[in-house]
Amino acid sequence: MKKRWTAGQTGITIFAAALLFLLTGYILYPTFSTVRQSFAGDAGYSWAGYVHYFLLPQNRAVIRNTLMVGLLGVLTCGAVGIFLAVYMRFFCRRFRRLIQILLLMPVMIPGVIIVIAFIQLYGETGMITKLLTLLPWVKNPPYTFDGLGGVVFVLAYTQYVYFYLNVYTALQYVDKNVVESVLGFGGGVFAVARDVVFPVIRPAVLISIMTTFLSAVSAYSAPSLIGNGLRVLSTQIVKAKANYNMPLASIQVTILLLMGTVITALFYSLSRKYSWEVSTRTEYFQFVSRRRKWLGRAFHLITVIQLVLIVLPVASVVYLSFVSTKSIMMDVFPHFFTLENYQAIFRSPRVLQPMLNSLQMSLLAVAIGLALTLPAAYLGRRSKNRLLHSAEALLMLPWCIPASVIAINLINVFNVPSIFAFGKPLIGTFIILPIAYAITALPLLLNAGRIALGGVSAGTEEASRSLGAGSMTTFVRIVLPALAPGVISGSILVFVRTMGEYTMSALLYGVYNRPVSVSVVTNMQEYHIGISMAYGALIVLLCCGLMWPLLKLDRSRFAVE
Amino acid sequence: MNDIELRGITSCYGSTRVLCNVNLSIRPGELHTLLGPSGCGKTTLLRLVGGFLSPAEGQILMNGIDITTLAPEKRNMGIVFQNYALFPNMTVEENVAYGLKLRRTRASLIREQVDRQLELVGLSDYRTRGVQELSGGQQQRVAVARALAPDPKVLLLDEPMSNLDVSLRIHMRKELRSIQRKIGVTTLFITHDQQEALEISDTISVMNAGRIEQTGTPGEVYEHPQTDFAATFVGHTNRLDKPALKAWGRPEEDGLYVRPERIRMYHDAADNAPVAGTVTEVHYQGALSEYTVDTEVGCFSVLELNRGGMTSAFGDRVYLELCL
Repeated sequence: MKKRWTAGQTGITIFAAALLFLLTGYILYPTFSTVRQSFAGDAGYSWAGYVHYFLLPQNRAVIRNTLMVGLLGVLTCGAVGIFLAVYMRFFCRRFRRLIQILLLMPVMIPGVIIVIAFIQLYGETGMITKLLTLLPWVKNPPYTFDGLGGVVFVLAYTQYVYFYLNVYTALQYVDKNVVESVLGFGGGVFAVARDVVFPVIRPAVLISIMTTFLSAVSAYSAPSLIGNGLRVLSTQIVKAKANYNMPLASIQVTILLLMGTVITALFYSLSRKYSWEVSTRTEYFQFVSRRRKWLGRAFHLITVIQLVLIVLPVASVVYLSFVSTKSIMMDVFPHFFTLENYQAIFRSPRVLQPMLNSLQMSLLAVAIGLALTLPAAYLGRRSKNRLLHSAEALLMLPWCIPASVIAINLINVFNVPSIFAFGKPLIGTFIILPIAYAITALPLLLNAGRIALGGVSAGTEEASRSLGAGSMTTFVRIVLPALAPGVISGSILVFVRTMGEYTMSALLYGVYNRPVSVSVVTNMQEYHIGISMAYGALIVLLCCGLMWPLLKLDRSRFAVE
Repeated sequence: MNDIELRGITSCYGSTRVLCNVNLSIRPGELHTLLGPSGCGKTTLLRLVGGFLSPAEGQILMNGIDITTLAPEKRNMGIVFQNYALFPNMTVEENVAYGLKLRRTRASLIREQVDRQLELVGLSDYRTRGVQELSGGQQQRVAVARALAPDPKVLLLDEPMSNLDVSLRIHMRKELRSIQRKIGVTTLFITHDQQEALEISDTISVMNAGRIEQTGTPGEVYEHPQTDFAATFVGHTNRLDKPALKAWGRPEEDGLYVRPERIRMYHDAADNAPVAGTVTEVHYQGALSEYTVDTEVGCFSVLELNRGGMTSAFGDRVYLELCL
């Protein structure tokens, strides 16, 4: 059979080859290089490094702690997220939209800011802790906000969103008629939950477990700031790198990478196994309980507590940004209001620079990410080009690579001149952080592009072509307008995440690209708490401001109705 | 000369051959229908004519010129898709004007043409509406107006009525036929609905498994099916074998397809109705009733017009006449 090879196919092949070259250079080869280094020793490649690592009890404890953080993180986030999803789907009637928006706040506010806010609230000298010690019958603080418990507490209130959004979306597909059939057969509430609700939410729960676990085991800001000596892989990697012990860092990175890959493969395949087709005739189920009013009230009460816990850190950051550092440190309730923190930022170019650096680097990361993912998503939709599909698979790879792993991988390859960087080393330059941010953003942007393209029917493009438009005109006038909302919302999400990114920033920043997240932490550690809070408040303001266009463009993805 | 001519078209998806050596001619101004079941290759054929697919073998000619490898935007064909494929970011008039703007037509001419098309499809009052605000029938009309606005040489209709409810579908096919006649544009229409095909076509090509089984006027295809498939797919039919034909006094013939309305039913025996049987099924359809009659030479379907009530009932003894 004859095959007609067109100019378009040649263009796709050239693009796919260029993309593969870049992805190999910045993702695949660095990962391979780190794994290789973890096996390297004086007598060639061997398992000796790993044997030595696992023989030391403190290293085994690091792995145990990391798995513990992952496991407890999943359990607590699952409990909070699923509870909120059920509440919002079936019980919440009043202030629904406001609550939905408030519940999204942890997505929009960088983790490092929330951790610092938690310290100001629940830490040894935190406002809530000091308030409790004022009570006559409380002599010592009733809790210590640090160690494993503190880290898991922070995780529960920052990472529950994966469970909440996924399960909330899945719950809408609980079919009223199926529920009624089960009840008709004599099944009770338990049977409905087991046979109808659970199978519907199971894929969402599995995907959420995977995402939360990956996020928990690679979390760096919480263990490093409130871990109080809690040794987990992410903190040990940074420590090893700081001590220039790259072979040790490589072993730890490889173990973390292995955890990420195994969990991703396991839970992704499980979620596919249990996935189901949505019936187009689904009649949505609404829970109406006339008898169990106490149940509704209990749900309301727990949610109110939850909302207070979510809003309090954000409010405290903004509040403390207007208070002098002296007052923060001396008073139970800091009340010496001032604008000096903001003046310090905006009057000194040196203090303002990290903010500008982060803005610049985040925008650059979004631009790089879009330049790679958007054409790949568009061309990959109908093309059967194998090179392109391999490149698409590589674009999704960072999904299962923890942030600290990406950073160490880049250090290993780009601390010396590299063919992938025009023969120059990249470590210590401005561009290395935007590149690292862009790598983590690739799966999210590719997915955003794919979802947005799903809304552009092949028919509309063909209709445009049949009316005389060439492929470029069709792309600009028909595809792009349809694509824009989804892609812009994905870009905003990436921008917000990278604005406050801390893990990779701590490993890769230098004199020329010190990001605001690093400045937030160092200012706090140097007791310039007010400035640290003002940085935080500015980021909160920026992120909350971006929430408006995000919800306007892509409301359904964020479960805001 | 024919407007569209397909010569020896073969098309494949991977290793699956979906069209095998298809030859087809469409005369200028004709409404030519491709009728066949799902998966028979009719949409592939339309997409080949539209330029969205390239055939593995064969040629597509328009007015005698080979357009096999010509890009879709250079073919000047209007297409109405099954899901209408309207541009969701544009209003009704922007959708209709789209093709004209691409041709850099003067603004005054665009306005004139948009007015004419919207009037033709009865949507003049909806010009500023977003396409999402329209009903299925209205969306279909916008799609027709949009396809016709640039004055295409050929109109391609890909099951445009399959998303409409029955009554609207009947109404729209009459309207579509009247618009097509008024403009005189050569049209290739795709459907799996035999009633639709019989009602609006000048010529029908019956397709099955990637091949054209028969091409002819609706009357020819219905009255004189040339293959088993054409006979069974287009309308109901009775297959009369040799013993049955012998019983009806036609021993010289080997086999024959007879439509149910070509068999007449009597309550009394007569010379012209030699085959006796019993009514075993009755299906009342309003204007018509369909009877299944069990005889010694086979089971036959009979269709009768209800003139003030049904003529027979379950269990009646009847005598059948062939009216060929």
